[in-house]
Amino acid sequence: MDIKDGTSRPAQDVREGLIKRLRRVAPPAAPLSSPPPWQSLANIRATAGCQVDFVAATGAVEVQAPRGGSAMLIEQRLTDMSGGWDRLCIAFKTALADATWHGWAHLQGLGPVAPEDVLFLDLETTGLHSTPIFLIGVMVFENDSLVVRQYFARDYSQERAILSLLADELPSRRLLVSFNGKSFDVPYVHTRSAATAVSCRLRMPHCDLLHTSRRVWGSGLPNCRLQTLETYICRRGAREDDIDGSRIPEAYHAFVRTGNGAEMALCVKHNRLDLITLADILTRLPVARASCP
Amino acid sequence: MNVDAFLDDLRRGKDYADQIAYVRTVEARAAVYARPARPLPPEIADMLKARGIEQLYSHQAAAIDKLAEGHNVVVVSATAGGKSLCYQLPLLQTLLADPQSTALLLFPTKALAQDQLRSLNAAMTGAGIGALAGVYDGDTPASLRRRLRDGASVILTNPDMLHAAIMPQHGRWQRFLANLRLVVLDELHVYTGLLGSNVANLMRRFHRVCGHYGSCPQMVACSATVANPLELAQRLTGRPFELVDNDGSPRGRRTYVFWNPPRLRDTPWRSRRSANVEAHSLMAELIRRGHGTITFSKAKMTAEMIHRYVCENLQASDPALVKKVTPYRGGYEPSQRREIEKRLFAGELLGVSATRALELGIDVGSLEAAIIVGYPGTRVSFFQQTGRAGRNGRDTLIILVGLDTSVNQYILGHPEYLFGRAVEEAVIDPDNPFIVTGHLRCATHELPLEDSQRFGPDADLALSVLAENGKVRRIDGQWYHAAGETPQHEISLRDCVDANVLIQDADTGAAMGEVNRFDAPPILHPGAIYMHLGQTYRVTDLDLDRNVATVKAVEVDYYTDPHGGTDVHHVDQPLREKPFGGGKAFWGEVTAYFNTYAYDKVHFYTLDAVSTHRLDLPTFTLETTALWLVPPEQLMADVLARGIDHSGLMGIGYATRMLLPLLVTCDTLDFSHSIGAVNAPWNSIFIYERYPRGLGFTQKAFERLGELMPAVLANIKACDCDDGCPCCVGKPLRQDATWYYDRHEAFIPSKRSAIAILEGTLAGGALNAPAVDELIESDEARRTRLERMLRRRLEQMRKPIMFHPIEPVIKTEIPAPTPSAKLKGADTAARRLHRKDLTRELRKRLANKIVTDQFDAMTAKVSPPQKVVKAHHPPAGYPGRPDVTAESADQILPAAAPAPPAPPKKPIILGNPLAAAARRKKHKG
Repeated sequence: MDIKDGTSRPAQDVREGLIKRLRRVAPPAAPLSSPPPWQSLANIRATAGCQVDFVAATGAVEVQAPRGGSAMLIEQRLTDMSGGWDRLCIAFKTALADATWHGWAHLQGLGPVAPEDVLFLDLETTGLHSTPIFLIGVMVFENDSLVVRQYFARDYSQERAILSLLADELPSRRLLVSFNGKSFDVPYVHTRSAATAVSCRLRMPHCDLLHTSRRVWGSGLPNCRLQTLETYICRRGAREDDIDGSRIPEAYHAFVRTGNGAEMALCVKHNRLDLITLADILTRLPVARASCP
Repeated sequence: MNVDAFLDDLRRGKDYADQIAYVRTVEARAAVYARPARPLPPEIADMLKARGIEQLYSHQAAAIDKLAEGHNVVVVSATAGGKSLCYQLPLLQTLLADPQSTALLLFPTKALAQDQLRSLNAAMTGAGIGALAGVYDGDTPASLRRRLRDGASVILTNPDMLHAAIMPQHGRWQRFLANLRLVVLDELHVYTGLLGSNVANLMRRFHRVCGHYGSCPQMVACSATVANPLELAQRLTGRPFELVDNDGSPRGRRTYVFWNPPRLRDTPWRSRRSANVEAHSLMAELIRRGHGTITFSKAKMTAEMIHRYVCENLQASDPALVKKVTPYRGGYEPSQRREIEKRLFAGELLGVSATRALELGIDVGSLEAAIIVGYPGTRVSFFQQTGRAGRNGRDTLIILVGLDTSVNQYILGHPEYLFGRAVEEAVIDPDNPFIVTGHLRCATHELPLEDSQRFGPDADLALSVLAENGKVRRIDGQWYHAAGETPQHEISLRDCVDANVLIQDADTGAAMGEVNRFDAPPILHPGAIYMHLGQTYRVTDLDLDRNVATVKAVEVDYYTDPHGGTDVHHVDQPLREKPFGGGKAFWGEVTAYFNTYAYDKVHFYTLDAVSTHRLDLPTFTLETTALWLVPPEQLMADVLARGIDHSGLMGIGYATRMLLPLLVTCDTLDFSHSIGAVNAPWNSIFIYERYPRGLGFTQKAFERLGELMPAVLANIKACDCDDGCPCCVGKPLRQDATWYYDRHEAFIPSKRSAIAILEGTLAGGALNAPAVDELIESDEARRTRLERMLRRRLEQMRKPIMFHPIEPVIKTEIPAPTPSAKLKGADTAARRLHRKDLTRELRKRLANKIVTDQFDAMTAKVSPPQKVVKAHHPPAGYPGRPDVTAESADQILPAAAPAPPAPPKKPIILGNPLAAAARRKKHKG
């Protein structure tokens, strides 16, 4: 643990909270220390720089959007993936049963929040300012497992389709969880749905884990980026085969131009890991603090 | 002020030397009132009463009526004639009727928007409307921007901001755009030429986005001075308009005085006393008498210079007044400009020495006199500038101080030109493929593009070239933006160049302003003196790779005067031809190049050129349109036989260019002239535009050539010089510039020769040839040619450029240029290392710009950038490319460049031997 002992009050809180939670969530096993092995990753690595078929690399299937158009869907249950993610599913369920969450949900005017009510959201876009979205990653809890669904637009024209597919995910969900979604993802979805004339409004209560993490751990960490939290809080090692966030827009344009799925497969993986980390962080929030989310 | 008494005092002064060439008094005019057909709502009527407005002027009532009927309206009335009310009242009506509705007001400058916001807010408060209105421009803080975006009913902004900030993020403006009812385009006459063509395309994009959100706003356009308001408004916006021009506003007595500086010597060049010196003494005199005075001059430099002179003058007599005088020009920091405007409005300032940055309808308070140094180039500008003084119906004095140039002297001699005729026609060319290409990138970025025809006939071609460059992509019949950058931030509405050069103070690191890349060499060449807020700076370095000019504050007693060379190199394609008099006239596409090769140091006050210095700067090429006149060959021989040389060709070019602004709204600096080209007759006189592919100015001039050339002849004849002077046929070039020596370019062209050639040509046949023979060029050929041009242009865009935002911001983090290693004569090892570094750097840049699949091909052959080379010749494969001999190729290409493929060994067989000799000479020079 890199957080210094007893230097400040919040840091101490954090430490205590974390120890408590760690004991409860994963008492016997060592903390997750390596990223989950990824079945086709070895292939991607071997073939980096060569033409890679996106569908073969990610196992994507084509789906029809409700209001016309089609897009790609990559769907994975966390319990089916190797790497001990089933523990995360259990931890997630336990965390939502926690009294703290009920208190927070009450403040938000929600009833008790069931795991099935939560929607994790993370976007990959072609820029920072109102440029098209090409990958919408959502994670939900279904049949005793977290399920990652990633809607991918093979070209710019499919943005409408993935936005309307996202809109379809929304009605049954009551709580949105994101990282920096209040200032990025949600306004971005609204802007793009205005520009593409799709009605997709994210109006439900929103738990932005950036703000929460900053409050809880901010003073003890070098910064509050998602990958920093992943290292220090979730205690996972650095990601392998990750794509640099700033490289993503250019990589997508190159994919549309050439159809080479190598970098896009990394992108999909990047997005999936971001979603998983969101759930991971949520389960590791200290219990003792009132109204913590 | 008592104008007549002041003029009498001037005439009695000991320095008076008959400078007053003409006085014209325009008597006061009474107001004409009218009532709108439908009475105004009581809230608005009360507001007007509270402001002391009992009745509306006739044009205001007419505008309100037409708007109520659902038309788009263009209003033309005198400066300070209450144009703002023409759109403010309908705007208030709309807001009263539907509080959700919104309006967008576009002003060409920020200062105007701030000025209008004050008056609009007062009107809204008066009418009890609580809607939010605000200025959304580069100076608006981020928090206010969000508030305006989410809640404003009225946004005041400029076209640049609409283009670069609102359009790329239109999704965030959904509420505003969906409820948009009214768009106002103020100062319509500003949108001509390049800016107009860009704004017309911006409007095409804007209407498209409005359509996406389901709104179709009504439009109001206003102007004080333009000959063809209806046509201009319709071309700019693509909408039908109704004209309102029954101006009913009153005005005070105005006295116009033409002031011609006295002749000091009998030399043909710089014979008159400096207009700046004359203007400053007039201004100082007016200020001493307590009359608020505004002085307009044409260049930033002269505005600063006059301010300096006035301050020195006042320092001697009334030191207290020095603080009440200030310069004002573009290029200052926004806060400085706002401060000056505020002090001016509050009456704290008595004098301001401004450029045309202050020309547009800002209410500058109670100024009583305007001094205009040098005819501003167009009647539009002249009347805008005179309109700055005497806004509240008082007696006003306007002095035009003539420069020693042909247009100025012509106007001083022909006052009826200024007062007798309508103002010039505004010319725009929204379909210019170079301009359209940029806007197509923006349009695809904003919304997928289906109806490319909206952007003119060449849009499809431009899109396919853009697709080749990976900028756009066609999917299912729609064009999508397919690159990482935000194109709106790369395309400026006011420049034809894709990058600006930042002026940076070496001592403080502060950004002092920006100049477009094309204009940078003449103003910011190493050694140039740059003036800013009355302080002189010397340019220490001009880095055209990083686009940064470094300046250092110095105290000097001279300024610098650049010598630029520009020339038509070859004709790409003649597009129209007609017999003209005895010769022929053409209009078509040409390639020209520009180079700044030397500069003079000139003393303040005495204007003596101290010394001349050589420069080594790269050459810029420009593909543009030109008008060229070919006098008959026989005439040239006859003229020679009469013992007159051919230098008059140059003189005719100069004189034509100087008089062109009398026909179309343009500036003499929008053009250049030269004689002959590699594939045109040696005696052709070229007048070409300084914008890529031109903006239609020369086309207009070609159509009205029968009107233009006799006026040129009359002007040359009317000049009372002996045999040529800068007022009629041209400036002398320095020894440095003896390019076409055999054509006597190094002297002032002979006036006799110009008259002989022009008279001969004009007398040889009909001037207005009935049939204009359009050269039939197949669509296929035209397409290919255009495609090549666009490709070359996009190729240039790929070069690594540093982009600066529209507003200069202080950027202290720009790293100082690393001093490049000095190369010694024989140190080849160091040279190789240096080149390796350069190649690595280039690779790095290319890797950031160019996608992986094209990467290998691109990096396989990266060599250090070479200067010039490409500039001098049409591309390989071009049908009109002159054959290059091995000898001349050696001269053109630097030794480091790879050897070109061996050209066929043929002698140059163009034009006549004289021209060939000249060409060789030029290459050597």
